[in-house]
Formats: sequence, C-alpha cells, structure tokens
Amino acid sequence: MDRFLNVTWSGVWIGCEYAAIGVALVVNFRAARVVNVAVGQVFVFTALLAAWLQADGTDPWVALLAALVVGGAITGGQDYLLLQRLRWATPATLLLATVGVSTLLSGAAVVFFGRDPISGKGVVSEGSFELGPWRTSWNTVLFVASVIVLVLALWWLSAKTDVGRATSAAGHDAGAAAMLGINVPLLRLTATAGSGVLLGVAGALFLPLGVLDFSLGLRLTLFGFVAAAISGYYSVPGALIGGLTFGVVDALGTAYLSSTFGLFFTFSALIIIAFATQWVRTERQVFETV
Amino acid sequence: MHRGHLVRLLGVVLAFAVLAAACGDDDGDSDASASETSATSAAGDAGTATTGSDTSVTTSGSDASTTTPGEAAGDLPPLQLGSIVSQTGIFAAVGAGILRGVEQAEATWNAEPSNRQIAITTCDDQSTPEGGLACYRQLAENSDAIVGPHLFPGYRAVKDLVATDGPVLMTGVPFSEPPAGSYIFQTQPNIDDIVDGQLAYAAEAELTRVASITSNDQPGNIGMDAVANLAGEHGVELVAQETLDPQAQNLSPQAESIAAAEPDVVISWTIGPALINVLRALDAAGVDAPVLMGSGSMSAPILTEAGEQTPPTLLFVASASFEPAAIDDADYRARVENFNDSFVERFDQAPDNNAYLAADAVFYVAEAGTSAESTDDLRDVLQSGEPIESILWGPYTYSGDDHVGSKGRDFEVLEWNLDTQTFTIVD
Repeated sequence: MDRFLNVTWSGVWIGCEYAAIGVALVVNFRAARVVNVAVGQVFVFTALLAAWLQADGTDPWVALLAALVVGGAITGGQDYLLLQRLRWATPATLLLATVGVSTLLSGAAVVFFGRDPISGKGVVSEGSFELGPWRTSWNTVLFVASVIVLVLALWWLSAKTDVGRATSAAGHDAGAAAMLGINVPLLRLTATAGSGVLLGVAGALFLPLGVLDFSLGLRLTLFGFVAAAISGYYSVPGALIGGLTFGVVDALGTAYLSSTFGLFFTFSALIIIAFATQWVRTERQVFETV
Repeated sequence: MHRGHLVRLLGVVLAFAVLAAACGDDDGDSDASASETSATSAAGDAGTATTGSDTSVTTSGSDASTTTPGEAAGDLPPLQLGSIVSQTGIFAAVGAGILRGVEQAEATWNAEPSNRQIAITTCDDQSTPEGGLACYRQLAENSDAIVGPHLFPGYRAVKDLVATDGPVLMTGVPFSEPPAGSYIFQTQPNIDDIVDGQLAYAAEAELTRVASITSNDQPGNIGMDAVANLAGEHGVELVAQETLDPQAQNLSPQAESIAAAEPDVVISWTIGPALINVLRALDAAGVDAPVLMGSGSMSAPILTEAGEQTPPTLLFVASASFEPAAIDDADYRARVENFNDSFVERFDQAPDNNAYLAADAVFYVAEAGTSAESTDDLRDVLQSGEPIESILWGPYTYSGDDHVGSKGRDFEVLEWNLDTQTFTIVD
C-alpha cells in the first residue's frame, strides 16, 4: 500500500508538470490556432531563470515573480511580435516559427544559464513530511496545488466569462470576431501571455522537485501535447486530466510492470484510452440521435 | 508589413536561434573564452553536407606567436589535435566537463615550453551519431590525432572508420572494444572491470543484498548486465533491477521498487542530470543503504547540486586521483594537484571524472607525439608498452594487443563529502 500510494503520488506531481504545458498548448491553440511548440522551452527557460536568480541570492518568491513575468512576456511577445504578423501564413509556417522560438530560447538558456543541469530551492520549507504511508514535501504539495488552481482559474476565465468566450470565438474566426467589434489582437495577447504566466509559475515551483537543463524543452512539449491530445486538444480541464492520467499511468506502469518498457506500456494504455473515449462519444451521439 | 518582410524576419530569428544554440558560452567562464584564439564556423563550410548535421568547429591555439615549437621539440610543428565533444544535445552537461578538461590539458601542456606544442580544433557532435561522423570527417584530414568522442553515440558512428583509416583516436568510452593494432585507444577501464570492483567491495563489506538502477542507454545496459552476470561470482544476491530513461524527471517508481526490496547496497550506473534524480528519488523513497557508483558519476558539481537530498552514503569505485593526498608517488601526486589547482583557478570548480578522462586523452597523445612524425608513428609509440603519464589512472600502458591498457587495475573506493565537496578514500 505504501508503495502504491507513493508511486501514484509521484505520477500526480509529474502529471501536473505535463498538464501545465498541455494547458498552455490548449490556450494558445484556442486563442491563436497555433500549435505552440515553444511552450515546453518557456517552462524550462523560466525555471532556469528562477534558479539563476536564486543562486545569485534573490529570494525564491522574487525569483518566482520574475519567472511569472518573463513567462508571460515571452509567450505574449511571441504572439504579438511574430505569430500575429504571420496570421496569413500556413499552419506549417506557424509551426516552424514556434520551433524557431523554442530553439532561440534554448540557445539563450545556454548563453545565460549554462549547460549544466540545475535545480533550485522551493518557496516554502525544504522539509518533507509523512502522513501515514504517504511521504512528500511541502514544495511538492505547493506545486500540485498551484498548477491545479491556476488551471481551474484559466478554465473559469476561458469558459465562464465573456472575455474567455470572445477569445475562443476570435481564435475560431478572427475575421468575424473583428467585424463584431472584438479586439482580436488584444485578446490573443492576453490569452497567450496568461499561458506564459502559468508556465512561469509552474517552472519556478518545479525547481525543488527535479533537475532541468536547456535541452529538455521539446521533450516536455511532446509530453504536454500528449496531455492535451487525450482530451481533444481543446479543453483546459481536459488537459489537466490528461496530464494527470499520463503521469499516473506512466508511474504505475514503471513501478509494477517494467521500468525498461515503462513508456511503451504508457503509450499503449493511452492509445486504448483514446479508442475508449471515441467509442463513448460515438455511443453517446447515437443515443442522443435516437 | 509585407509578407516578404515577414519571411525575412522569420529567417533572421531562426538563423539567430541556430547560431545561439550552436555557439553557447563556456559556462560563463570568461577566462576560458579569452584563451581561445580563433573563430567558429558552420560545419557546412567543411563539406559535411552528406550528414546534414549542423556541427560547429572551434579552433583554439597553441600560442604559436610566442612559442617556437621547433626549438622546443625537435623542429616539429605543433601537433594538430581534433577534439569531438558533445556541446549541445542531451549529453551537453556531460560534454561541458569534457570540454573543460580538454581546454585545461591544452593550457597545462603548452605552458611547458620544452613540450612540442599542441593545437586543438574542437567540434560539437551534438550528442548524436550523425554529429560524431560529421566531426570526424571534418577533423580527420588535418589532425594528427583525435581526442573523443568520449560518449557512445558519437563513438559508435566513427569506430569502424577510425579503426582502419586513422588517425589515432583516444576515447573515454568504457566499452569501446578497440580492435588490436587499430588506431583506437581507450582511456578508461572497461565497465565490466569497474562493476567487478563494485561487487568485490560489496562482498567484502558484507552488503549481500544488491539492487541496481541503470540508465537505459548502452553503458547503462552493459552495467546492468555486468551486475547480473557477476553478482553470483561474488556471492551477493541481486534483489532488484531497475532501469531509467536518462531524461526522465520522475524516478520515484523505480526508487519505490528498490525501497520495497530492502537492499544492503544500491549500485547506480548513470551520469549527468539523471544521477541527481536517481539520488533524490532514492532518498525520497526512504532508501538509506549506501549507493555505489562508478567513476563516471564522480562530478562534484552534480553531487553538490543533488545536495542533502540523497541517501547518506555515496561511494565510488575509482582511482586515487580524486584524493591526491593519498597518492604515494610524489611526481604523480604533484601532477594531479597542479592540474586540479589550475582547473579550479580557471573554471571555479573542481574537475569531474569527465574532465579528467578528456585531459588524459590529450596528455597521452601529446606525450606520444613528442617525437612522432606521422599517424603510424604516433600509434607505434602509444602501443610500444612504455608507460604514459596521466591524471586519472596513473601511468598507462598499451600494447599492440591491448588498446584498453587498464585491465586488472586495483580500484579505490571513495566516499563523497558534501560539506567539503571532496572525495575521500574509504579504509
């Protein structure tokens, strides 16, 4: 029981990392119809920035604030300075542009923060605690809670407010939205910058949980993409659930089936989940039609 | 803005991105950068279009303007060395240590005017086989010898070519299996030998329940198989065997499985960022058994980064060079201490195993090249059986049949001390 509980919990916190990146992908897609490959590198860059500031003596809370601001500035700046000016480009060109930004951030991370792997301090006590068989640290709890709260806030903003609905509409058909008087560029900028804020907070809070280096961005984007794709690449809470599912399935598969073939089992399970989800949707449509 | 302008803007951004990723800096070390004398050029300029790789080449010089090599070393021109290092890609963190070792070895060797000077041209293999091959093709023609690749992806790609065509190649890959009489020489003991040393220590210390956690790359797999194959010979029981993806961030599942097996000792075979994750995950899972590693894991920066979130005892099977005060040979001890001091002064950190092995590769070739006038001369000197001085493993001896040169060595077991950030030999 101890082992099961702690393995599952490790899947939850790593799943929150995937979820944060997955949600950022979804928000960017809903607002700008762009698969923003750079989001994984934004997560890494802001985390490395926070670690660099901490190493320079900056208070971890201030470093968190800096990561938050820089994360928002990068994704917002990327949209305003690059993607909005490429709005008539093909999806492939837009994808290439985000790959370029990701590579640029990777290079900048090498220049500013070096090639060595980096971890950092948490913003709360470094201590860990046990609750029955459950072992964890305060920083892990804070990371999980922060990601969930921020994702739910983004979901509420995007689905329950006029601004959020307008953003989705602008992303779906920017021309029609503009004719209705919606300030499409501003909404895009706000939404994409919001995703950067999420990435900045998640990146800085992840520092005491793991080790990061400049090269991890695209790998994290891939895992975030999986989290987002599980729910159809359009649902904010779906990406959260997708990330958690991915993390937990991977952790349990690694612990109880094989650490050698952990990812094989994980992706096999996710393919089955995808088929099952489609089957349920189809059945529901048939039922509703009848 | 016109579409043409946008395309140009995008092109500029991409070009800058690629350039920034390729160049990087040298860990913020301005001294190291200042010692380099020439420029960086794209691989495409050197005719490597067949691979499509974007490797980069940097030439750092023997300070030829102030030294007259001919006067110092028998009228021979500077020895031209190529250096293949993973400066980008997944092994960049490991490559950073290797690059520091190469640079420090070059400076140390060239600081002695009576030495035949060396000039090193460095190429980034991007941690890929394609990059290794591209670097080899760029460097082979104009190099008397090549140091590296020290990591297996690049080495695997060039092994067959070098073995028959040369030039002399010194690699730190601990399973390079250099063919007898070939141009390849290995600067480290084989993995099997180090694992044998680990298990011998475990048996002697009566740590009979052994768990292993190894990366799922080639060295990790060789380490895993060696533990499984040799455990019985040493009378120890393998109670858990876990593998990990070196880029994975959550290793709690593996650590929890090891904790459940209640081992007396954990043998870990991984390097770089994954090592930090392994140690932290074992600690978080409540494993308080000693963790026994190889010399490749001996990196003070990495272990310092892991901090206190590790099992209490971290042990390494390696050489005494990590605790120079314990070296009996006064000349060898002085050489190691001199290298260490210069390294710390230059890079503001202690050399790790990767820096040592890369430096040794340079020293071996530089020493053998003192009088060699051709690649075949260089190979003949190296395999002549004469001992060659090194930093990491003491005098090295190769022969025509043995290009590994360190089989059957006596290993030391060292313990990491976080407070002093040093390794001390365990009695």
